[in-house]
Amino acid sequence: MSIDMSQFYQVFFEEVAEHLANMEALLLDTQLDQSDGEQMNAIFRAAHSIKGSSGTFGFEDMARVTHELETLLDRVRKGELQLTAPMVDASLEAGDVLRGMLAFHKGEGEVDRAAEEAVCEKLRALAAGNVVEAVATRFTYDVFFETDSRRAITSDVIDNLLAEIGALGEVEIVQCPQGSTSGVWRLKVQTGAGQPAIAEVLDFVAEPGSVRISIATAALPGRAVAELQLAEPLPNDDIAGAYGFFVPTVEDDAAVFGLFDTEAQAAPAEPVPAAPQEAAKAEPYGFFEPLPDVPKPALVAVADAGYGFFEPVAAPEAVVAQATDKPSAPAAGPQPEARKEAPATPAAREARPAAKPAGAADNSIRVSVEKVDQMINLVGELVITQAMLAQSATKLDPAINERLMNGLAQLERNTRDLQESVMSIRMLPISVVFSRFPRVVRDLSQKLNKQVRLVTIGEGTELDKGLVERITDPLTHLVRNSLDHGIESPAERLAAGKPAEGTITLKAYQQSGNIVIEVGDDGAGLRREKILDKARERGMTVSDSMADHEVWALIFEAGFSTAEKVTEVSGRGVGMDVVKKNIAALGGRVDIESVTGVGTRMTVRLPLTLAILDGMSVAVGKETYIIPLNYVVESLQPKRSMMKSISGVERLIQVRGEYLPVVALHEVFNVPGHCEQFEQGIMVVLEADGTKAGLFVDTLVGQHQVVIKSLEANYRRVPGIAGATIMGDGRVGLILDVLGLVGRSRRLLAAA
Amino acid sequence: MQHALEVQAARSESPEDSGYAQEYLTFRLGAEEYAIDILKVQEIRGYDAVTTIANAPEFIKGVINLRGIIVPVVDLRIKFRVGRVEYTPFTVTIILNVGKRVVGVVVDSVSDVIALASSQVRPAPDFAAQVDTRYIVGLGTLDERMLIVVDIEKLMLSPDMALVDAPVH
Repeated sequence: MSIDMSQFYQVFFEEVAEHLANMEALLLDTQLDQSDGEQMNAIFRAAHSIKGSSGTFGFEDMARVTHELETLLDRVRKGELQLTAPMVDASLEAGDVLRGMLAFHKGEGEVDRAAEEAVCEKLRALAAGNVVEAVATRFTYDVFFETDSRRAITSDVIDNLLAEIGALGEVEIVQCPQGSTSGVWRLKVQTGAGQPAIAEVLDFVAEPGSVRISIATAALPGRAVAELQLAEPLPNDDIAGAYGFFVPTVEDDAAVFGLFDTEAQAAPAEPVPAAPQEAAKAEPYGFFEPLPDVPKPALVAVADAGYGFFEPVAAPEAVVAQATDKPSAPAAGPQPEARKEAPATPAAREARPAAKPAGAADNSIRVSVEKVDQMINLVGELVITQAMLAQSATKLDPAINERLMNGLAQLERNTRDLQESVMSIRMLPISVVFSRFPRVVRDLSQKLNKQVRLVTIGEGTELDKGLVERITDPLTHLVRNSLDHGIESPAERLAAGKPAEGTITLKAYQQSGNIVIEVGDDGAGLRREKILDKARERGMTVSDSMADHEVWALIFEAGFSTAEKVTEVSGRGVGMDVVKKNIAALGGRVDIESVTGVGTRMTVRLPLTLAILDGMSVAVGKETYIIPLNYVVESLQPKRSMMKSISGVERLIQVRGEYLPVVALHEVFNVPGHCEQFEQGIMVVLEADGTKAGLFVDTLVGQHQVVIKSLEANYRRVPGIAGATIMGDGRVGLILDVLGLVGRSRRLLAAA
Repeated sequence: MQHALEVQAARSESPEDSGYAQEYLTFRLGAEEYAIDILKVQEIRGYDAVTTIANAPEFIKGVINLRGIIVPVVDLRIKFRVGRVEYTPFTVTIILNVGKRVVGVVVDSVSDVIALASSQVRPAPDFAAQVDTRYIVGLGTLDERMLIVVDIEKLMLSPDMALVDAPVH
């Protein structure tokens, strides 16, 4: 019976995304000169988990890439390779490719197969690095294999194989089976690609366990043969294969050490006599689960020797301690069980298993957002019921109903606490957003040849999950902008008497019902003259007497860019206007502060959650409507003289020197208003999307926070209405669609 | 498209092709008595605190807060021009669950819950009821009463009711 795996895909996607993020964060954090064993292990574990689960769920492409990545990381964490900058870059790239694949499997986007191939190639080359790059670029390998007896090997297969190996380097056939294509083959391959690359090509053709690749003695005078034995080259068992790759059969200990010695990683001369001993001790240490019966005794020696070889610097005590824990049994060839064992025992030096991350995972549960939202709704309902009860209770005599009153007071406290904690479930720390910026800054500063340090402050500040998802892009834009336009090149900085390394500061904090996120840089700052010139060039009406903040606000205009040249990063003038629009759509706003030569700071203010909005309620006739407060500029009582007419209809109001179109709410909604004359009512000046308009209403009612509810869930879209909410008295209140109303004013004006 | 499927599903359960008795809620609209599938009914409540929606058709009274959910309310009496339209403490709203939506309808009065076997429901002749014959499943007979069995889901989701956005073409 087969299980439908697709039902678990969602969990898989989330899990892999988490592992990828984790891996990236760790990679960015690595210090090349002082690579931390624990950190390398953590990176390896993340890669390993991705590979394991992608394999399980049948996402072979992801498993393939992670396999290469894991191979490289494995060698690094074992100390066989020194971590280098190209390795970090390649690993990050691999992470990007994996992310692309993940998106593809989710049904978004396309997979860049070329990038996948390139990154695999890069990883392979790096993993093979210490043989290929450290000693010489090209080797001649003696390749020996038997064709797979379970497969029909046609001459096509062999041709393909030879072509593929040929792609790696020059191939010479030393020995081939007589009369047919299947049997024992012997090739001489001259290549810089390394043994794993050859072994991989052979995987599909060769009989499992038959492949032997050795460096031809002629190519390495004075060094004997090191062979690579493929333990289980079955595609399904590629993890086992991964370890198999690095288990050389030792025909001549001294020679092997000699060979790897060039990297100065494996301990050289001293372990030679000790190796057999070490091997004996290391073997029960258990890279692989000891099995009672040994299917391939020939491999045992291989494995033993292999461990002896790879752990020569292990502290003997540790090894002994481990050895006493587990009864000695000959290690068999790699088995699937090794999956579990392998990440937990990453190297002989790393004796403690990874208990910490596992524990952290157990402390949280995955719950669908719908469940949380439902809970928030119910609690909101509870709050209203509680308010109703409290209101009814005010009519009672407190002396007689003392116990009831006490109970109600208790209920109010509990309800408030409950509401707070339920709301906090949807809250995520902003570190979720900030965590992507080290990568952005690193990549960009490399591309732009700038030195930039990223400082993040207040990562613990929490905001709504919905906001987290939607603020990431605008913030990325701001950071890129600061990096590209704000921070100067190192030479310019030094000339200006600043340190060569620029600083971008991301800071988040809460301020009276708002989340404030600042993106600051210590760069050149905005240049007032340049912006004004540019604005004039684009035909905007500006004057030299404009206040700074008004000048800075110009950069949010569509198509506005003062960059001298268009770079890959920014300068096309799309972006800042989109940033402003996106932030406004979240109910927030952006402000700019800048001092020439000192730096620029962009401050983004967002409401705490998407579900709650600061509103101003206004009345028209018997109806009450809510205007989102962040659109309101001011409210005033119009005077007769302020009203101006176009073609006989009063359609404009003059406020502070500006002519604003007027929208009369009672006309828009066809409700009888109390005020027919403008000077009897109130004009609310709104600003949305850079356009101002006056909204005419009867009176202002009050200001409150409201919970946004969907009107469309059970009804349909209503022009002019953005949503609904439940008012304090339990009735439904309608929230005005300010963007729509302001847009309407423009159309009305055009029609007039 | 979803709606079409759901309507079909509702139809296949309709008494026409099932031999079992099904339960119906009956209500009065003017002189006529209507029956609707009880499984589509969520609850029955009074009529109060309706917030009017601008520029909506006359028969859409507005929206109410039903335990945190915003629910539109339709007055079928206005829609079908029957009965006396007045709102008293005895005015009833039937809260329906149709096609994943919650909708309230105001009727003259709710009578009772009855069981009708498929044999008791006859196809409707082409007659002039207030409700368009497209939404009438058949005529049910119970003792002396004649009940007009209505596919309430199809009716509520129809473009006539203006409760759902017109499908985007």
